[in-house]
Amino acid sequence: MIEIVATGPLNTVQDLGRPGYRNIGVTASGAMDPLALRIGNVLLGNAPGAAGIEVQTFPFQVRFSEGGAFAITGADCRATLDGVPLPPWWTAGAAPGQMLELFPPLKDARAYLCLAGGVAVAPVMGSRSTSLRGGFGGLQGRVLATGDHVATDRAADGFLPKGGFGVVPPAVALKDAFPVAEGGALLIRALPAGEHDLFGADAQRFWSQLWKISARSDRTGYRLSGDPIHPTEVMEMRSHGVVPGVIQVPPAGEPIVQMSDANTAGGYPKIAGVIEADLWRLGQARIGSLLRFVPATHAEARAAEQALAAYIADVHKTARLVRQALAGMA
Amino acid sequence: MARRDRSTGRNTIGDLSDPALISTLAGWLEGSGANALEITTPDGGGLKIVLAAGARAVRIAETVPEAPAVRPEGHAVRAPMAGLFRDRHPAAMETGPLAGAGRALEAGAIAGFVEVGPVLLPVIASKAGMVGEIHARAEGLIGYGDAVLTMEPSR
Amino acid sequence: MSFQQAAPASIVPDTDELARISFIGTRAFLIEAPGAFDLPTQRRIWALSHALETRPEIAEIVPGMTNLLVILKETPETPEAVVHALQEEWRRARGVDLAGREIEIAVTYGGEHAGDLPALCDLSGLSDREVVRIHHEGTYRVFALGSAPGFGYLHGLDPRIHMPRKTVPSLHMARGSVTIGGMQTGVAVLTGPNGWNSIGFAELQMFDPMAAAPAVMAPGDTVRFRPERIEL
Repeated sequence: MIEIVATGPLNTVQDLGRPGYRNIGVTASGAMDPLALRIGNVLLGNAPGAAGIEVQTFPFQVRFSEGGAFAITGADCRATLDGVPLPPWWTAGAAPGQMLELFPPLKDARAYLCLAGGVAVAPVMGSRSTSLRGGFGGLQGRVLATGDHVATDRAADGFLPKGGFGVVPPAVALKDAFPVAEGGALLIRALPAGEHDLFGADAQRFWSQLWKISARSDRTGYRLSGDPIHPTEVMEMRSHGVVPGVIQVPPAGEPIVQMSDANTAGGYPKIAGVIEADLWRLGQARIGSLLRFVPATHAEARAAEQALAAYIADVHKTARLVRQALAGMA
Repeated sequence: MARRDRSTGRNTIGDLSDPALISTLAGWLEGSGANALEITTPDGGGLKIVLAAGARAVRIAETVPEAPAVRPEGHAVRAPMAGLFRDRHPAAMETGPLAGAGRALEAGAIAGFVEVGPVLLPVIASKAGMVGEIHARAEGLIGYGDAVLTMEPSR
Repeated sequence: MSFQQAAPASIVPDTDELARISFIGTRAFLIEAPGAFDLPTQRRIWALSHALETRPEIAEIVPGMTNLLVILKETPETPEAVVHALQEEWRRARGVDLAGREIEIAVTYGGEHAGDLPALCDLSGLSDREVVRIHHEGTYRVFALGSAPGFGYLHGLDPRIHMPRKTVPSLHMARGSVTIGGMQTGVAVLTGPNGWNSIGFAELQMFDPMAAAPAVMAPGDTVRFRPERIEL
């Protein structure tokens, strides 16, 4: 059990989301950086889909009313436990009464606080993710507030070395599988979507230019600013299902990338769709930062997915073995 | 090999003979270019994995722990496990080392990391003091219990 | 509100024209039916949806307006093979009429939640009474659900009262607003920004996340609006 001592306005309980209900208009929601949430859970011996807290406004401060293990992953938020700094991507134990503080990260956008056992809220339609738009899931369908108490489910037994331990963050460990930013811009791979070719010469400008993530961006979607692009003809679109990562172009010509809280249906022309394996990186992109889209293939997307899966499996196996070995030596 | 209390459900020394563990440890060795790794336990049990040069074969031998070399004027901060020594976090390579010579460390402070595959273990200063001699080479291989650095007592 | 079973399934003829299939990211394939935005086309989409339901490699199927989004569990090695298989299913799909329920929704036409009724009168050249009569005399089919939890896109709106979506959405349209968007009508399920045009209000709660079947409407349902009150 933890108590929220201080929080910004948009921090919520999230798990890996609520897919499977788009056919009744329900957004999947879920962590914007699902990789960070997974690794946090793996470090704690939780199920990979256990719910954690997505922190995107800082400072964020919690008190452990009961002791327990926790993990901090995602953006390096310079966390401290009773004032003692913790490395990023780290798990440690907290004694009853200890205070954990997360400060504004200098890069990346979202930090994840996972708790041993996972956040205990009742699943709604198979998920503990907060759907702010629908007003359900998470903690009463709303953002976390000062004074909230967040309970946890029963934790797995596991040896935790003194001082805790961590992992090499994926941005470092996977730098070969994920294109490194050039001149500070994030490279995001995407596949051309249904109306791509109708943009004519503007399609090339979509891929070649740097887009800036505008201030009107949130968990629902990122609005990009740049040199507008337009289809060569006005088309009458019928509403159809969409998934996070779809890049739609409204009449004004500046694209919108749908994110975790994406609408389930859309009707704007869509120029491309981000490969799923790059969504976690987009989920960490900050307002005001630059990105460029890189055309990709299904084969390249699969290679990126395999790199992610191998990293997760390696963390899982190694963390277990290291715990066993250290427990044996303790 | 020594076995601990089974009733607590805790992992025991016996787990060190787990073939999966050994193959993983051997994998790290191969990846790091070293040819031997030793895990020694306080009660005298231990495990030595020797990887023949260029081969995948692994030989396991029980060993007797060597007496740790503690210098009388200070105390050693030791590696919690064998692996690659990191003097700073791998995501913050542009910063300086966590424990530069002459720097004061609080008790419990992290003086570096041992990287074991994707896992990072903290190298912890058990007592407050001043960083004296640094023994471990950054990004070099380090054994379990090896002295990473020597701490001088605080004035 | 009342429910009853509608007519049993019927068959409509096949066409040989291929569907249009495109990617949204790596796992989602959008199948768009050729031809008109009408009930026969939607019936074939329902048939396709039904045929794909049991395929083990498919995670999710999202019917839209004469289209279907198929989300696979894994990124396929050969997307061309997936497109080919989906095209085959489309070719085989014969229209089915879903045995939907009949849903009657009591509506207060006009009044405080009918902010766009005067504009619709101007556009159509009809009086407010005529607009309301044409709307409640219609019989509508739920083509698909989407956009917001439990929101049903209703097909069957009389062309005389078609009205384009707003270019600037209303910021705080109330949940329950009875709205017209282009050639479709529907009942808003969430209070918030909405680009459709409001002509009335219904009390009916269209979605309950805690219910075994959270959405009141389902594709194939028949919807009628009963004028409970008219405030003009």
